[in-house]
Amino acid sequence: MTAIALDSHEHDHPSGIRRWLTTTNHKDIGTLYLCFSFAMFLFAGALAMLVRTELFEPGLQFFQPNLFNQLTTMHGLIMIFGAIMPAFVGFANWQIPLMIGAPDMAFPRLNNWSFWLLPMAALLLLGSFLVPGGAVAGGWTMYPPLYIQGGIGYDMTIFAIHIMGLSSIIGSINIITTILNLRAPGMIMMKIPMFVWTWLITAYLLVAVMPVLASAVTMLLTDRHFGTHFFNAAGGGDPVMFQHIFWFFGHPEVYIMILPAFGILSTIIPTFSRKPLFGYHSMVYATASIAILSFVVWAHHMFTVGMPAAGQLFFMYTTMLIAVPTGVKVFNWIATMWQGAISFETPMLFSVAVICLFTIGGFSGLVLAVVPVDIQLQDTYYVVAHFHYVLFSGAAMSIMAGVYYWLPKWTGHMYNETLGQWHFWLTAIAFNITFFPMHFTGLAGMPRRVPDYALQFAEFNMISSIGAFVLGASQLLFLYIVVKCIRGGMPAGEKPWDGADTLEWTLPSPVPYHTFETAPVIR
Amino acid sequence: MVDISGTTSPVHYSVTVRPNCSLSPAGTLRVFSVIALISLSFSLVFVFIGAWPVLFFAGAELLTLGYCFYHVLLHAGDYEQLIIDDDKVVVQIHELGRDRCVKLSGYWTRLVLDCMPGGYCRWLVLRSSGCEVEFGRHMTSDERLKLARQLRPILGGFMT
Repeated sequence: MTAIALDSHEHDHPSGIRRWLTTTNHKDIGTLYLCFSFAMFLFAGALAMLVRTELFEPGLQFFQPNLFNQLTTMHGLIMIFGAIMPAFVGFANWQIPLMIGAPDMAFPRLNNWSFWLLPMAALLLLGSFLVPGGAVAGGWTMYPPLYIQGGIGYDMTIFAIHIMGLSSIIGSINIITTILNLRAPGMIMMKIPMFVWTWLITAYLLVAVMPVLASAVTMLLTDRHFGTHFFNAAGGGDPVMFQHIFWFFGHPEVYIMILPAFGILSTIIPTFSRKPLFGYHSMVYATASIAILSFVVWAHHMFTVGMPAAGQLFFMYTTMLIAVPTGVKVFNWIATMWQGAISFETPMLFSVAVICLFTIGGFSGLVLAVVPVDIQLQDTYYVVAHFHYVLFSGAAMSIMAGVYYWLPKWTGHMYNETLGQWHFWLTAIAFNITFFPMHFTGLAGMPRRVPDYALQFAEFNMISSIGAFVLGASQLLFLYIVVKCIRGGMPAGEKPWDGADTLEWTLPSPVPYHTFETAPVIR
Repeated sequence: MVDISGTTSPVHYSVTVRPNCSLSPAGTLRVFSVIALISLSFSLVFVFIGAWPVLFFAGAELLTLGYCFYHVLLHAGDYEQLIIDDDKVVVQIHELGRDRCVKLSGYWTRLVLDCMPGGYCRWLVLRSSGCEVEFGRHMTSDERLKLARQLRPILGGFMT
């Protein structure tokens, strides 16, 4: 009796370009997402540099208004859909299976698909700069009538948004089924790490709101080409309806970009405080509360379009209500640090900065929630300052914190701590130099999305531009640190952070290609 | 990733292998119902204000999500059971709600573990009188090796 000889390569995996094209391994796909998002981050950042160059002093220096608006619009669209969201999906791919003790995502082939849709969408989006009429210039919010009237670049953007939405939906379905079905034995829901919890809730938000975005852009498309009049007032449509539909997606979208950041903070802060997370249960409930409330606040973006006083009051109070669960989270992070044996390695520095700066962004959000104030500040630089404090210092800096935290586990090497701290201080200081003065320019009435401005805003704009150039340059240092760490460095042990207690730190560094083929048992 | 449970009594040897599935069918139904209820409620409001394409997209998405849950659920009840008694070896395979039972002679059954040069054990097969049945498709290499070591004194067999 002899055994059958088989040509099988279960433990092999292709190398070179085929590995990355055909991979179904969650770590490879996570890496692809992170690389893609970093490339998009640099590109959209370069657009921001161009914007700040134009705004360095009053008057039109370099760009005509239409091109300037293309730059601001594409900066927003690429940062949101190309950089921040894919970066968090990258973290989800890398970390969720490792943190719940699963061998991979529930649908690995779908996972490959959901990534490879993104470069196609990016090609469409970036390619729109090259077509007649240029890229979209109507703002990332895609309001009609501008988006009904534009050239082919608008169609390309609509298709790109569709494809990115499809990618997000596939990704979120995969994440939901993975977290619910592939948890290691003994890992009940109230034992899963906070990062996993925040992603589960984020995935629910994505599933709920992505069809709304998809239908909004589809209606724009049919209004443009198929004679419908959903948003065309001349044909009996209602442009304000688009705003309601868009912001019903758009406000939960803000939380889609911030909840995973909260998850990263909730992982890093206990590690470097060498204490368990304070109030795990309240963190879970606060996250869920934020997600639920995010569905009933959308019209605070639209106070100036006109609505009944009762509607204004409702959306004002619900918006203010979100501060409560968010405050619970901030309190818990501070309570976690309280009397902890804190050390300030780069991930912790970023995390503490996120708490401080995100709180500033949260407070300016509360200011904007007040209807009469919002009516004054609508479409001013105060709003620009507010959402950059939320999205750059909240989401992007959390991503940086997460990269520094998990890079040793992913690569097997320690990053250069000195350079990491340089990156942190440059980023934190330059960020504040860039965006804090915008509160003042906004309060003084400078409108957003204009390439020229009155002389009274000159000094603050110059300061913002100088800060922006330093902020942009310091991200090149980040790229250098990451590439250097991937190529070599001090070997990272199994657990380079002594306070880390999630499952991934039980694995060797770098993490083997296949992990948790045998489920760990959680007690 | 599997849950393995085994016993040596009252039969000589018995082992059951199940794929790990941390959400019960009832739980899956509850989760899906909540998502569907929320999503459809939003969609119907949008239909009411004239944005009917939302319902189409939400429906398509729920169908996809439902299929994914269904696909996972289909395999949630799968298991493989190996029972070794005095004179017979019984392999029971329950897959997609269907049962398949293979009975082999306890005296003639041999175990074949097929391992690659790198040590990865890809197959565990039970053979008897020209009949062959694979066991442990849900198991990892290490688990197959461990099981083979346990079965070898009982059945005899070899590695390739």
